[in-house]
Amino acid sequence: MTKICGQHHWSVVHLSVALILCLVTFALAEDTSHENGTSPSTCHGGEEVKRYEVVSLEWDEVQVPFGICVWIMIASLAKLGFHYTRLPEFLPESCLLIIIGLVVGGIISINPKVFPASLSSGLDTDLFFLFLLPPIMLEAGYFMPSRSFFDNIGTILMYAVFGTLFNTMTIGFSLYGISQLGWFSTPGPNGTVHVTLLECLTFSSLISAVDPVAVLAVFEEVHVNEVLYILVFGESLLNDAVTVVLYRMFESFNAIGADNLMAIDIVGGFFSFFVVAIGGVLIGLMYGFLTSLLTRLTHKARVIEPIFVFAMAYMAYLTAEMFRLSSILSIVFCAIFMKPYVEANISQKSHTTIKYFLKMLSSISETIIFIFLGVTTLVDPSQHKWNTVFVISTLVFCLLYRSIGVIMQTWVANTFRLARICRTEQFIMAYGGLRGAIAFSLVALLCKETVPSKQILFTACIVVILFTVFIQGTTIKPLVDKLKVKRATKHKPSMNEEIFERLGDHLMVGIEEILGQYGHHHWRDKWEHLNKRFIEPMLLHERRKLGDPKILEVFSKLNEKDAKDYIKSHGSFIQLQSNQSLSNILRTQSSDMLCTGSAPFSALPVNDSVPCLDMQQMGTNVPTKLFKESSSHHLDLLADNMYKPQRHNNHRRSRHMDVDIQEPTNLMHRSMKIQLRRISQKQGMRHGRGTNPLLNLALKNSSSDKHLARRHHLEQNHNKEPENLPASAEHPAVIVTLQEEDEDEGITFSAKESFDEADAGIDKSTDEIVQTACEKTLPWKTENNPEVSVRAEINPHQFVMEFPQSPRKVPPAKPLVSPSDSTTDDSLPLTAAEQLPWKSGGETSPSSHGSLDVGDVKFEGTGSTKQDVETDDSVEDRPLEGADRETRL
Amino acid sequence: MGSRTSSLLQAEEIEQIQKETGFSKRQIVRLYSRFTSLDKSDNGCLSREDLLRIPELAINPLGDRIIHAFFMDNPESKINFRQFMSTLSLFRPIKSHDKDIENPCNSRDNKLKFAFRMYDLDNSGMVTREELLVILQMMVGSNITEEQLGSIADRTIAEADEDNSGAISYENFVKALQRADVEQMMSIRFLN
Repeated sequence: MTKICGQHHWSVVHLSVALILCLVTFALAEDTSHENGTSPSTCHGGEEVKRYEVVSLEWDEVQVPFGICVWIMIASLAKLGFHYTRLPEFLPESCLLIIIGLVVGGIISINPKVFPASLSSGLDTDLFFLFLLPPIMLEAGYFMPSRSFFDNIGTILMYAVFGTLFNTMTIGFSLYGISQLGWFSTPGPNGTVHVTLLECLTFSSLISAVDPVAVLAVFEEVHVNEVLYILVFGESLLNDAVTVVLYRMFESFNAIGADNLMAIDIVGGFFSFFVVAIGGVLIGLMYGFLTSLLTRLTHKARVIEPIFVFAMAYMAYLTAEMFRLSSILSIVFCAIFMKPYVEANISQKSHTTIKYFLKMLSSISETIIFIFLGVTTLVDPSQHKWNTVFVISTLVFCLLYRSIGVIMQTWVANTFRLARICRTEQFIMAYGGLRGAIAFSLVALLCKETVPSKQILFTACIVVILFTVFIQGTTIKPLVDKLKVKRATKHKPSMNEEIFERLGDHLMVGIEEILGQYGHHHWRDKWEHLNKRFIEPMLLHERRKLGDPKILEVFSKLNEKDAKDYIKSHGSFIQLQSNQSLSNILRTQSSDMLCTGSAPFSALPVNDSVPCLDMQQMGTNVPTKLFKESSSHHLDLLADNMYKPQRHNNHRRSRHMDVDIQEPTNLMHRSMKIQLRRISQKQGMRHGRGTNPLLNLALKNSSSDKHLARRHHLEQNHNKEPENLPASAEHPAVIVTLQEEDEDEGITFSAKESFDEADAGIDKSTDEIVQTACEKTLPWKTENNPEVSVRAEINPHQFVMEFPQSPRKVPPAKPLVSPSDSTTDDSLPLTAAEQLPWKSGGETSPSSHGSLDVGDVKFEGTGSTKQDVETDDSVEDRPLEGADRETRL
Repeated sequence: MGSRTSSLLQAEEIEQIQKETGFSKRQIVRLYSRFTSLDKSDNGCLSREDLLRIPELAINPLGDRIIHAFFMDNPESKINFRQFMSTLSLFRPIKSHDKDIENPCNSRDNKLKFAFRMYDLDNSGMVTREELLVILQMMVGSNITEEQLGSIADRTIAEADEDNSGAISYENFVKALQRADVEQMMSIRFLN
């Protein structure tokens, strides 16, 4: 066991123990399997009757999946282990993983028996292209900042296509030139090394492409500004088509042989570029479209939503691979296309699943790729042939032509671009041209018969990869600091900024139209228009009706933040309460009602959907304190349900850790986005009566609770004495349904289930148990407790919707009540409504409902509130009063 | 076509516009041909109607406001080519040589002023809640309630309004947008 310095790092020891245990299990199993493999034949040969085996070892059956798991475990444990050391501060993770791979590979090469055979195969090209690469590319496409990608698409395409072509040609011909000079040959026998032109070009085609995996791994840790990032990253993604075509072309030329080449082959190669690139993109878009269409239909079976995304994207990749098109382009464009529609269609939980699963898959793929890279480097020395001149010249040419290419192309791009790419950014672009596992896999794929100097190429390729990942990867961060390259500014847009940005978009489109020139603003606007008119109606389950949902999104995000800040700084909403704002009181009340409603049943198994009702506090029935308490309940409710912002400690470098900080807010925002859309739709339906769902809910809750209290007081069912039960008719079974789908609730307080269970509980308790005094006082412990199902969704958006506002605009609410078909008095809505006390006299002081004794809120200071609440219940019957109320509010 | 329009444009006039706005000669000639093609009444001036006739501008949610901002300085609702060019020069990207000139027409400040005008309906120098509501309504669409829009407007004003005037003054506006990349957002690459 290696000693790890520093006492607090002893968890590393644990990890290494786990890792070694894994390996030992594996090795043992493999050993025994070899013994087992021979034993059955001897048994049969000896004509021994085979008895029943109590324990048997079927290693061969599980060998492959077990091996895979062990590799994944090694990779994950290694990755985990780094974060218990201080290494990630000095070295990027990719370097550390390669080092581990090198160590493992070195051990294997010295003594191949140390590790079992199935563990030491190294990076298999099929494995890489079919299984390891797609998750990374899917993640890259899915989380691509699409706006800046398409804003810079021209420049990116230029770098990807012409840059790669330029690099391939210059590197290829330069290498060939040196080969012609005979510099690769070493003195001595067999020293003459001749690399043909086609070999040089094949090699340069694979070595000149910037690798997306390596770029992602390094640039995620260096937070350069978004434009620079998207230029490098976008180039690395899009150059795949060029690489694929060039590589296949030169490879097949190798097979054909340089002497038999005809012009038609080259022309064919040229056209195949368009086929490969456009075909790949089209396949991706097609699958993206299908996925969006599918998720439109999944709202009945939410669980399978993520699988569509994964499976369809993977199929896009495989289909492109099948037709030998650019599979990376295919999966990336599939992801880019489907994202907005899928995100709008799927549920909150599916969203989280997809997000985390993608992150997890890509992270583990990346880890395995880098480890395998290290392993394969050393595992089989026979693959290598070191040629100093070739290696050095390759390295020099790669760096040199990359720089020249970037500078030249930036010069061209800057004449077209609005935002010029400055010198330091150009430098980082050139310097960030990392090579990686794709080049490595391609060089390993080369056929030894057609490419005789494969070993030299292999070694040179690995050296270039290691050089770029190690030297450039580790120094790029200090360089970015030193050169003061503009960093990514991570701030949430303020409301003013967001509105200004949207205004700017419209303005620039307008100016372009006045000028009569069609720039990219024009095309973006055209696309948005087309999207809204035709694509969204086709692909979205619920159509957006808003012209600009983005503004609302930002608004709800900001309000969300306000609420959190308020909680953080004030500890609760009590101070807010003191304003006596109507909406706040109602809100507090509503949460209180929910809590008290379910409190006595805390002994019952609590359904998952009631996650956070504070049972203990509820149990104590202290009416005098209710106001105070209710505000603290409110706090509890909010605090318990808000994703708690997590403190982030020093591992800033890893993107996999960053997930932790980014996640909560994103989640919130998404749920808010969905709810916002719903609300706006609902409001479209109930046009004319501006409705605040929260208020609506609050009204419902408070009145239903009151109703319960009153019922208790009377201790008899209202069917006999309906006149004593004002407002009862409206809500024996109140379902405040703000949303149709359970799955999509961001944060939901659902009391429905508990009430159902509660009902069962009551029946029992009233039948069998003599009620305690306390129980008797509880309003809901009555026999004919109606099925009160309050499904209230207090979601953060609705909550904060008017949080910083004064209550001057509490909208009149038209309740969305759907009486259920339960045992209650559905038949009597009119009679009951007619007999509402205020119907006759119009005098509605809280004291007229003298029955509110236990468990109810004392409404001394808020008589008018209560009145409003009640009037609202009967608003359908009394339009006049409704209007009245509006003026009062 | 280019030769015909340039013949209508006096050489010294081009030079003067060039000095004022920083456009190149070819850009001016090109924009002049655009100007004349927009000017249906052929009187050397553009009216609101001329601009409204551009089909895409008519469907632009903010088309009205853009035109409004164009004609802000001209109460008689007519702009000649000089005025047209000086408004457009706002949107010229900021080049390095612009920094030498004292108060170039495409400065950040001028760009912001133009944007501010789009908010400020009555040209009072203050964006009130009502004015903000109108512009929000235009962008967000009508499928949203007054309350929601109102609270967005309130929030926006509260954010920017540091002197508690209940409205956004130009100074507030500049301050609220100090992090925004105005130079880039409100620039356009003029064709030659």
